Amino acid sequence: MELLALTLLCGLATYFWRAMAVLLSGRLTLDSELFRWVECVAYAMVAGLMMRIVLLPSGVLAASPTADRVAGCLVALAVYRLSRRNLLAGMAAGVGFFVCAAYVRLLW
Amino acid sequence: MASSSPSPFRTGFRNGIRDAFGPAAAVMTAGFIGFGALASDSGMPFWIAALATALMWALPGQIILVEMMAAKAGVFAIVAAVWVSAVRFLPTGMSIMPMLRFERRELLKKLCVAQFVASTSWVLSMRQFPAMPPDERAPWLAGFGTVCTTQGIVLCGIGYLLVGVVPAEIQAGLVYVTPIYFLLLMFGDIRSRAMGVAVTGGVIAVPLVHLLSPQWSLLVGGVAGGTVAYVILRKYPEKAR
Repeated sequence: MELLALTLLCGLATYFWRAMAVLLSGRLTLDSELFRWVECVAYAMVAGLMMRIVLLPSGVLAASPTADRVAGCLVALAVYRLSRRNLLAGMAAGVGFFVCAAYVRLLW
Repeated sequence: MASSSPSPFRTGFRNGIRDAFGPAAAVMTAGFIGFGALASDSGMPFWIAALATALMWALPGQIILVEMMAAKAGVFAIVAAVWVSAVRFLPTGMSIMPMLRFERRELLKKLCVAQFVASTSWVLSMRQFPAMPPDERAPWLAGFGTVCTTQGIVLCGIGYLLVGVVPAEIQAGLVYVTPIYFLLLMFGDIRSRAMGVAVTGGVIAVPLVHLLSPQWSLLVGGVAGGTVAYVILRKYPEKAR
């Protein structure tokens, strides 16, 4: 029940900005300084969350060595750049590396 | 209705459905399988994960919800973090809306279409709308968004179920899809220096705050990292390259 309420609130919080976009579109120019700050915070939050999942995970990821998780990110980024920004190639390489590393450690 | 003939609506809607099966959707696929896996691993019930996909339709916010729920954060902290993470829909929505054609007094219709403003649909809309008749654009967005949301829910279910049946190494790989997906989206495609500095600020601040207080790490770390990034950018404005 509490989970349901929380999910509904999160849905409303997300929709809030979509509705604001409809109401404000064509009527208001955004206060650019305030908006730039909010944008910085939003980017920092999402990037930080991903870094937290990589460096300090909970659940099944916690059982894997930190070195594997970090190396997988570097492999993904390298392949993404080398493949001219092919998102699927980068992801396949990073996740593939991470899973293979786990199996190699298992065999050792 | 925009006109007496139903055809622009049908054409737009149909094209939107077709595009939802294109390459953009393929990239999203991995993201939602990862989200399902993450939700399952964090102990979130499946129906909540599906409901979050349907209602929020914003992967970063959904992942914030899963992670903060698992970290036992309070309702206020979670909703506030999700709210901040969705700010990006204000500029994206405001840039899409003028391109759509509505009659007067069609606010309700506008508000419905707005639900389908998301990162994927925004990128594709900006690319396709100039060549599309204005009457077909809103129906296109509705068709595209409806099918993508449905796909998202199905894929989230696949990810959720897979975690239960595959060996631990693959399970970890499925959950690992999420950070890799966003890492590439954000780090690999930094368009402006502002984005790069902000991403770096968060990458450093959030894990640091997490060591002190897991429940508040996202909000406090995000605001701290983002504010430092903002101050640095004000002090050293972007130079022409």
